[in-house]
Amino acid sequence: METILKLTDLTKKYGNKVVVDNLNIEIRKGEIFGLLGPNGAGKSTTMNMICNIIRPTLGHVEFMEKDFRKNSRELSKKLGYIPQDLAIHGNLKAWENVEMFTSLYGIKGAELKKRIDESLEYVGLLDRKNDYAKSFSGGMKRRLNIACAIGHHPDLLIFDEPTVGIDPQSRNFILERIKKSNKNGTTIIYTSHYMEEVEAICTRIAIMDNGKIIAIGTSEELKKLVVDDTSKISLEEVFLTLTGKKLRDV
Amino acid sequence: MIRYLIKNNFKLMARNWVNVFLLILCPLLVSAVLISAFSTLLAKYEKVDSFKAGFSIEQGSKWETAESIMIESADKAGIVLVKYQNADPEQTIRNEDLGGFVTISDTGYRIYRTEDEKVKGMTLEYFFSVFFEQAAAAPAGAASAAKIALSVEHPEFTKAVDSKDYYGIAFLLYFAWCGILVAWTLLSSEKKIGIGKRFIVSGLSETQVTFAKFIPTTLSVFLGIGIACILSSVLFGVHFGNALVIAGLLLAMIAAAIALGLAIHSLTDNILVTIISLFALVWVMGFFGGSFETYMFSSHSKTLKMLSPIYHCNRAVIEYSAAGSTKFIPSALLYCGGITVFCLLLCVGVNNLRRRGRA
Repeated sequence: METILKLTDLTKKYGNKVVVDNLNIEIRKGEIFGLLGPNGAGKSTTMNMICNIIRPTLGHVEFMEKDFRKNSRELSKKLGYIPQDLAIHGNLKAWENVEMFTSLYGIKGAELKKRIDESLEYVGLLDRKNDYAKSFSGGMKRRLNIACAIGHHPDLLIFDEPTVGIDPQSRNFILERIKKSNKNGTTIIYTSHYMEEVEAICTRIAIMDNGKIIAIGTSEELKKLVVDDTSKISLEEVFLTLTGKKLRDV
Repeated sequence: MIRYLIKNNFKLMARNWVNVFLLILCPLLVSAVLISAFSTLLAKYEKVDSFKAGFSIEQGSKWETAESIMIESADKAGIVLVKYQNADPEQTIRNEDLGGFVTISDTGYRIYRTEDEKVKGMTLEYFFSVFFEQAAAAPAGAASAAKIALSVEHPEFTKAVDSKDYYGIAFLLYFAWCGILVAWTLLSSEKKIGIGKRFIVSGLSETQVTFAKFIPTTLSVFLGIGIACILSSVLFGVHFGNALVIAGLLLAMIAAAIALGLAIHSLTDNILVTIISLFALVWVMGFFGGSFETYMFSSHSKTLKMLSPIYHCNRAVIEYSAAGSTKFIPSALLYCGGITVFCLLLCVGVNNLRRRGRA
């Protein structure tokens, strides 16, 4: 399978502290790749380096066979990022929020209007397009947050804990949409603390701890690292076995 | 493509009712108070040429030794002082056609003026108040030993600049310099929701990000101050000159004010610190620039006045509005243009460094 994203020797240090340590991952086109890890494991830093938000101390990110940093203008148009924080303006209407972010990728005019409706419909908010974002519930805001990142039809979508603090219905809706996007050919990178979510949608999962990948594979492969009979163990138990039960206060 | 970003940033600011209060109601209220408070002081000022005034000094007074300095200083301020010892002030004014008369004693001085020569009388009053204030502050014996450095600018009264026109315009300009306040909503919202990450991911450069804030904020403030100008004209009868020229001057000034605010914000990365710093800076510029004490009568050093961008803007807009001409338009535009370019470059540079630092 074709590689869409390749992380080579990716390292991030803050002073003497190594946050991400020599990461080497290849993400294949069309997969849903889950990135798990306890707090402070280096997931967000890795995501930020992938998205070009922070610069690696060492190593590089190759996206669609090109160095991301050197070709960021061109490649950023093929990348969608859904941050954990709700990056939407409450005093703008739903369609205005989507317009604002979709237009950053050079889409304008009638095409922009079409994409706005398409994105809002995708997240089930088309009938609320003229409502202010501040009037939305937590789940609706999360969905709008997603709509803002998909209007430019990215090849790679990065979800940073998109289901935090929302009801099961909204969570289920978001997960269904992620699967739908993937079926339409979008590659997904997904981080979450909800193991059942990751297990349900991800084709491959990496577990990070202390800045390193300590395990990578399908859900079954990860379970086999701990026990032979995979039906007797959940992904969460695998995660706790591999990363330990010690509290991670960062 | 930042057109839509500019449009939506503009909507964000326009939808905040606090901005209406800050940009329209506040300057109108403050100027209404000041217009009323200074209506007598600035009444009917017209351009006055050099004029003659009389004076007498009580015999044996300590001010006798400062007589020659007083005459010399007055002469520089356009007042020819003539001594009439033991003369009746009122009669002397009438007989000698004087602009006013001053009797000086150790305990104080008294100004005599006529209704017909009110402006001259007020000029005389202003001169002596500054002269004695500075003479009293000088070291003992200085008055007789050396010249008193009198920083009285020769009052250049422009036609029909009354308190209504002066404060009606000066305070609109002062509030325009605080215009970054309207970007509070935008800047705090952007920081709160971490929108910067989305800009970086979308490949937006710091130059684009800066202009996406600068343009809508400038337009919002221009619109607000424009409405305030129209209202002050309708409500208080403030005279504005040629609308296009005044609009151009206002736009240049507001652009400079917003660029300055954004530059401070890029340096501090904190909206509250930005607003406090900008307020302090604008207050100082306004203090020397004639926002509080009229630039015609302020006793501040000319250098400090000339350093204040507000001084150039005030003189350009007020004189142009009131008298129809001013020599301060080029310097005001130069100042505003310089501030705008420098501050925007600083803003982009600092934000780029910050982005790299983060990176």
